[in-house]
Amino acid sequence: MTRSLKLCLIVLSFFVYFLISPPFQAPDEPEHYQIIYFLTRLQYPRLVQDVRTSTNYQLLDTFEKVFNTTRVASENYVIPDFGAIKKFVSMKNTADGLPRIADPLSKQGHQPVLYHVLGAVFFSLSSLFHLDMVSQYYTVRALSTLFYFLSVFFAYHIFKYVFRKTAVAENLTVFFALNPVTLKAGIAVNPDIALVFFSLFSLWVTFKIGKKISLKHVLLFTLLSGLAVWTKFQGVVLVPFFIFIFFRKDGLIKKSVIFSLLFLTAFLFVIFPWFLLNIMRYGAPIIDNFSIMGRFNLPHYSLLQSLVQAVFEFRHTVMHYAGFWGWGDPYPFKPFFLIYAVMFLFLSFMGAAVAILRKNASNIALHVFLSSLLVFLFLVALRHKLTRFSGDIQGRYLLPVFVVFVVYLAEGMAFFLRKKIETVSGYFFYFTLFQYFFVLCFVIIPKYYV
Amino acid sequence: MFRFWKRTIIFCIIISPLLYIFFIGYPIRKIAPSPGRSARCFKVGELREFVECYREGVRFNGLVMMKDVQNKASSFNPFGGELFFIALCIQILILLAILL
Repeated sequence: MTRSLKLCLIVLSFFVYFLISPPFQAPDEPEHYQIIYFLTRLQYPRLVQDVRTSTNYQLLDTFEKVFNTTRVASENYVIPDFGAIKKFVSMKNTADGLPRIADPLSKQGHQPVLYHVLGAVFFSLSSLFHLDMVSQYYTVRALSTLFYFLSVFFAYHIFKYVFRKTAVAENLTVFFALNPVTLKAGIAVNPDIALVFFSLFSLWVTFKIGKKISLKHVLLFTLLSGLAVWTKFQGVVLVPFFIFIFFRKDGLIKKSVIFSLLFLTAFLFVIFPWFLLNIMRYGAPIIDNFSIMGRFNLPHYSLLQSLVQAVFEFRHTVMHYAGFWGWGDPYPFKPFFLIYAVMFLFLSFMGAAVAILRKNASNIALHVFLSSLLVFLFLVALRHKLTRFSGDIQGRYLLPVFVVFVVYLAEGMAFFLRKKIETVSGYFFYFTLFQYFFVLCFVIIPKYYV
Repeated sequence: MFRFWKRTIIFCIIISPLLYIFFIGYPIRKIAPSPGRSARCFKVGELREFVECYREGVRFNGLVMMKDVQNKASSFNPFGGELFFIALCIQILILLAILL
């Protein structure tokens, strides 16, 4: 009974955010949405090289109308123009008759295309029903909704496996699902949530397979890591994780080495078409959009300073979980923001220490799963600092391992308060609901509606 | 009995943001600035501004505020505002059922 009610609570809470969040407010949404649109026209936009000289990277006129009526969150004291939105919706504009653009460009043209291809299916389905552009946007958003609920499903099973207690798993799942970063990913037209799904699915699979690894597992791991990379390059962190699993599960060095080599070969084979495409388009197998997305205005740091700054960069990541929303400013009141971040770090470190000392098999897998992404993001942050690039490591990048943080937080609080994990998980349940209403009332509603 | 009161207090704390904006409300300017600009006199996330704003602004709360948010939320989807408030009410009822 309680489980059904908690599930209903997650569904309704998500639905409220889905309804109340205007279109195109999450990071990079307009660009991702436009890539989906171009894919339905059988065009794959290239990455724009220079935003100052190229003109056709911009949003199509009609998308721009939707975009301009909703406004972006980074503009202070500007709320959506509701009169213009009502007028735009009443005109029932559709994307069907838009003119063909030759050689379209995008600021997100470097991204792998799996999420966008799936989005194109949703876009095309909505075109069949001749939906207007705003309804069409919400239909495409439903793809992220699908990945959100699949991620929540696997998060529940991961918590259940780790803690072996249904009530704890339920409470922590609510904590995971109602975090503003998770909710934002679930309503954004952005591949982040699809990567969360593939990551959590991968973690769950490694928990479920027995001690013996066979060839079918190698194929399954290849498929999952391949799909993750085809969703977003960050998914490559699953490769070291799976290699660890080969060695951890079987314990036979020779067999593990053979399986790892087989896995790597098959993985490269799966992602080779994307490398080839990049080489053909840009002359390099892997590219990024850092040069066009930010400014290179950081001070010159030495290597040692850069290493420290790269670690310090994770402050953004942690703070975002307090309720950061959108591209720019909207965040909860600063005292909440700061207390949240301090408590998050304190309990995470304490919980990690407790979990490491406990040395059980599922915890070790969680540590490696987390470490592989942390190392990857640390290297990205280090590169930013060394190249003077002013870009942050956002909470959404760490969302695939947020479940591990939730485990650490629960363990940390149980240790700190000397309480049972069942009791502590209840506190997390209460807190996340308070945080949900707090962010709704003091971030989202004032930002867009008052 | 103690358990009942404990749960009631927890429930009130959880929904306190909703109670706050309904009964006390957001501080907004008496005269709206130029079109397309918010009537808010505080920047989202700035607690000091939010508190100080009550001295000079007017309170935007209760049914008037709800009606305004409902109308605006309905701009994107027909019945969007109504669905938003219905979902919010059911959410609170479910929370009540879980807690009490």
